[in-house]
Amino acid sequence: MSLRGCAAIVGIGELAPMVDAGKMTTLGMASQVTSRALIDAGLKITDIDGVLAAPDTIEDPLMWGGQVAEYLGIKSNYVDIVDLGGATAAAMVWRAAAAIKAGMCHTVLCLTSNLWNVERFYKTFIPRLSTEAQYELPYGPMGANSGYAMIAQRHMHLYGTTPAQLAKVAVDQRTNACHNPEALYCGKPITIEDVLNSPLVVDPLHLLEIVKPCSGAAAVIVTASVRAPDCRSKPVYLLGAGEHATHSSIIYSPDITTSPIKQSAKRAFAMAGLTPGDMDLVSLYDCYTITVIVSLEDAGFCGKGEGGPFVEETDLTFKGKLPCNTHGGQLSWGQPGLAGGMSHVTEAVRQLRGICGDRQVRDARLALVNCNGGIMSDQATLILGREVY
Amino acid sequence: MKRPFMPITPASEPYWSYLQKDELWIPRCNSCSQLVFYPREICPHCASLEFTWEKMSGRGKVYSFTVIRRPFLPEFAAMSPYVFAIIELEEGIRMASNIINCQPNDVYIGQSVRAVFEEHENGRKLVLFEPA
Repeated sequence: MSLRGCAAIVGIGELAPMVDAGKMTTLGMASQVTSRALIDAGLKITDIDGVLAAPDTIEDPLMWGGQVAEYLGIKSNYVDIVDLGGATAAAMVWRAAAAIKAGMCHTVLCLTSNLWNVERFYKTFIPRLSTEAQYELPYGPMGANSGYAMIAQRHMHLYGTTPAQLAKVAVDQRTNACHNPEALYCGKPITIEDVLNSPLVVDPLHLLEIVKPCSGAAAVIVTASVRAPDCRSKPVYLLGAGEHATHSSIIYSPDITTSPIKQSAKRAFAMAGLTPGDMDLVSLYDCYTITVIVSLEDAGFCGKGEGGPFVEETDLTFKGKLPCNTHGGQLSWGQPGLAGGMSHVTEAVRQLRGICGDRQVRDARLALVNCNGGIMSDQATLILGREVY
Repeated sequence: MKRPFMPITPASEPYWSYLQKDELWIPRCNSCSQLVFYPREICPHCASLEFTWEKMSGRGKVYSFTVIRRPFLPEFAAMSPYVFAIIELEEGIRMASNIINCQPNDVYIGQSVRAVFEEHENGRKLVLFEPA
């Protein structure tokens, strides 16, 4: 049994990332993106019979899936929370397809909506840590920042990856963002020197190599492929999916410079019957510049340790040889909580539909999406196609 | 200095008790003989539930590190910039720690380090590392 071609994304709804969300609420933003996704798909709320909701990353509401479904007016045959950090979005898409294939439901709303509030986050942060954090917290880690910094440091040590190569990822994605009016940093191009001259926050990572947390929401509607042609917008089919994790804390990763993307991407490509060379674009979770380099290596776009020279030589912009994060990525578009992960799915869908305007990749037929949770911990990879090739 | 300690759990009690005596002890699985860090109630290699605690030499190498210049937690503001690192003990397991008694710029991957035990405000001791 495989999920290849069984389901399609037929609707997307997204809010542009917001540094100041004003009086927005989590359910209010969820309402807006659900409405947009339904209009996009040409579906009614009564056509939805499954809900996968991302957790609220600041509060900890009880039975959140049911609350979301009730608020939106969904009578569900399937409801759940997918709590895999940044991997949540891609993980939702294949879970939706699997539930559809299993006959449990036919049309699933995958929903991410998160408000960023720095004070509330830190107030609830320590009490929500696992008790096993007792072996890390007294040493003053800097959350994800210190984990990714140690990955970058060791990658540089083992493979000779340079700060300028890391910076190139941020620069190319900024170029993409400058062609996306919804990106937080649209209209602010940067150079490699700008990145290297920005303050070192956690060595070797500079400020411009780190995402900016903000608020936002995104929804995608996944339905059975047989229903897809009746929808209003052009469907994008799920051709392959894979998921893998080897650790939660990076301290206990078997090898910090090699991620579980190696397994998740391998499984996704095997299901799709495709290879990295077949991809017209990639949409790679990019909380930091090093994340993109490790993802390109582990998904098989270059050899292990060759990611630095690869990004140096490869134009990663929408005009380039391997378009990567054409919306600007979370580094330049923004990281609205778990909707940041979903932006990698929605952008791939827009590219495959051919509606990206100024930043459209020519004749985009196939895309790889990778979403990454924790510190290169949970990985979910999707292969999406304009048709079932 | 004051550091943010978390509650001790049944599985971690021996670890913290040995640290109070300036010793670093780690559990070894009775079934598959692998060292297990962090201490927990099941062996992550073979699912066995029985362990024997073993004293470590305290010698290790820097596996990776970062210099933290803008700490999240207010407790660390006075200490910054400081080195947060993964140490690989010569016995093979890896753990988080700080590298102290040297300049952050002098730390490098592969550097030999040794354990030092530091008492904190609440009387709890912590294992840190310094250049060997």
